[in-house]
Amino acid sequence: MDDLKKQLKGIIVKDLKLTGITPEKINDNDSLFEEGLGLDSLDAVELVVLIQKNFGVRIEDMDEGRKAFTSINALASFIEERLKNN
Amino acid sequence: MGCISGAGEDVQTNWANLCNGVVRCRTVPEWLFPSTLPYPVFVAPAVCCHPEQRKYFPHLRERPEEQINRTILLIINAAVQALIQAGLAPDNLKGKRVGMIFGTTVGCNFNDENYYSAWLRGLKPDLEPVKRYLTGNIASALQTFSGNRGPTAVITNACASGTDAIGLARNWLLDNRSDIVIAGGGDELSRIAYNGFSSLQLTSRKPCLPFDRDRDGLNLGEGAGVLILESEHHCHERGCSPLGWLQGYGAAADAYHPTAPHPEGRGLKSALDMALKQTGKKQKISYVNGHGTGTPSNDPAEMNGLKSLFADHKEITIVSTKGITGHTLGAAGAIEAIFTLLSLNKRFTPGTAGCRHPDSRLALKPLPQGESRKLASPLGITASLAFGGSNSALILEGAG
Amino acid sequence: MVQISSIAITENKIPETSFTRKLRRADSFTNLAVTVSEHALSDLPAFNNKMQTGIFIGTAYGPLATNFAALDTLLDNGEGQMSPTLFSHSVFNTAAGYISRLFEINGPAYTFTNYSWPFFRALEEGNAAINRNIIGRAIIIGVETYSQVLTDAGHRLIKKNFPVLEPGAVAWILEGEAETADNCICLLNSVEFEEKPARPEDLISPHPLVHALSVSRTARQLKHSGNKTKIWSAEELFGKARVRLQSP
Repeated sequence: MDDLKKQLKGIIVKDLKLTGITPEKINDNDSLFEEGLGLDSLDAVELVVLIQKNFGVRIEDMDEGRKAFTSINALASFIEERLKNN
Repeated sequence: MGCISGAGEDVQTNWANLCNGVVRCRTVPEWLFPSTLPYPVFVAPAVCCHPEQRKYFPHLRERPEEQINRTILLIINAAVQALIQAGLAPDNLKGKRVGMIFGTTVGCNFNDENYYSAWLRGLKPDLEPVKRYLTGNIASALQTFSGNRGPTAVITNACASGTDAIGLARNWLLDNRSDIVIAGGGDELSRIAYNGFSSLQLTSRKPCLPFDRDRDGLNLGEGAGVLILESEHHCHERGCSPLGWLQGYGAAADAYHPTAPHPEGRGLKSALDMALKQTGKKQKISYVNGHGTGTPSNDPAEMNGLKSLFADHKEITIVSTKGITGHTLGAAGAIEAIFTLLSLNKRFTPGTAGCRHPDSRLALKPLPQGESRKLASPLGITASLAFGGSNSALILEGAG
Repeated sequence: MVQISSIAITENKIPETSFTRKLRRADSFTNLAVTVSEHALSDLPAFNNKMQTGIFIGTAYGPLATNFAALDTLLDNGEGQMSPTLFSHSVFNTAAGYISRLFEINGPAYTFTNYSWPFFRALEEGNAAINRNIIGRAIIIGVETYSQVLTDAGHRLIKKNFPVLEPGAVAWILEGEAETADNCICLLNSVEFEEKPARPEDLISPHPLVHALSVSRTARQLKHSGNKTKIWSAEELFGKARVRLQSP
């Protein structure tokens, strides 16, 4: 789980091209959007593609995405559960 | 005026299908490009060059599809319909300053995947696709094929391109930069745009539901729309009676987000303000052909923008026609200007195909599917919202 | 008459900007257009009515490299998994959207695309919009970033003497004469250009920024040359262009 979270933080910083922050500085419970990391709707749809590309886990729509993207913790649990069920 | 879209090969067929609510939404056909994605599209009829078109564009090759892309073929098709309806024979254009201005999004990009894939593998693919790309500027190409002279421009303002092309054509005439302007927009369905819109999660798995409470995305479409614009003086001189008048045009930027509209329709309101100032007849507007794509974010933003101007305006009817054409991107503004003018001239509009349960949260109520309405005046608006926060609006008056 | 209040030129590099975070997703096409606008605007006093400023971009190839980068993600990842960020940034008016957002400009924004005289189309429309009193200030931008695909095709099409395609951008600020008279570089008397049918190899060379750069230098030099007027002109196989400039 910790490796997964680390990997996710790396993807978010690198592939969403965040500036002024390193993966280590992201807290597991930080909100990814608005007041947290400040991601927006375009980052959200990009993240859907990135999760599928890196983990083979498909997020069907933004209703599902919204729940998965609340924090690093939530996203990691979501991915892990999906991988287990497959 | 002339148009071609998933709703038909000419203006009459498009109008009939609009009135009858015929929705020809389908899976992507193999001959366009292979796809297993679940998002249906609106496909325009196959286009070829018939002898009538060759009279206007004598420098087209024998097999034009080898020379030009499908977007240009669609525009030629619509342009010739429009020229014929305007009573302009090829000879009437000789010696005139014939402006050509078109909007497009896909039509200006290099999207030959075979060439690109071969290039990636280090091969030297045949250069034909590159040549087609370099001679594929829609306005320059049409001017070359026609042998006429006059200013040319292609506007790439994403989904507002067609509206902007028509609006700027008006400025060309007012500034006496052209005698006649052939203006409009066109776009073909492409695998790249289809995948791009689906990755952005803007496309629906079902026929789209503009302004409906259950709307969940747009359907891409393709086509072209063309209007022939001329100054009143020029029109009188050749003894022609116009179909209508372009009374105003406004454009403004949201300055908000790369792909999402400003939630309050800020830029749309400014664009409408600018257009209405040129006519001074705000209270007489009876019809609005909205952008109405059927995405969750577009429709409320658009209604908010309209409400800020028309809140106390009881006589206004708001529709979207994308339920029968899909979102034709660069062509949308031009095709919708044609629907607007048709509705104003007939003083009648059918309701919004796909809008069965109008979303009660929208700031203004659209005319739903199954209803129709008589229009109180010959003045109407067509509005477009685009990626990059571009907004534009035309005010049209039907001649009746 | 419309005055040219500021001219900025960027050649062969993408300069520093103050919008680093807001440009995190931007490609080199948008970056160049934004930074050259920032430089052109920095010489001028702030313009209060943001509705009164228009953006006019002229480009031949647009964000061509980003178009291919988006296509790469489709080819690599498979259907339905194209990068939405790259796709949205391959749309030609992306740069205009960024400029309106970053400088909070709410007036009309246009991107014009053609292979022959893209900068001059933008210049003519901006000039006309001010003369018609639609806007009081216009940012006119010529920007190109090209792509390796294009360079390779150019070498094969032309065989020899194909020019090196270096990214670059030009921005002019036009204003209605009364706005800020003390910032006047020179007056823009007229813009004329025409296009002739041309072969692909005639359109790809010279590259479209050459003339935008040349007319920019001419405009800058006029003030110091002691001449009253200057006619800049160019002729290519695809047509000719003429810009008449006048000392303030």
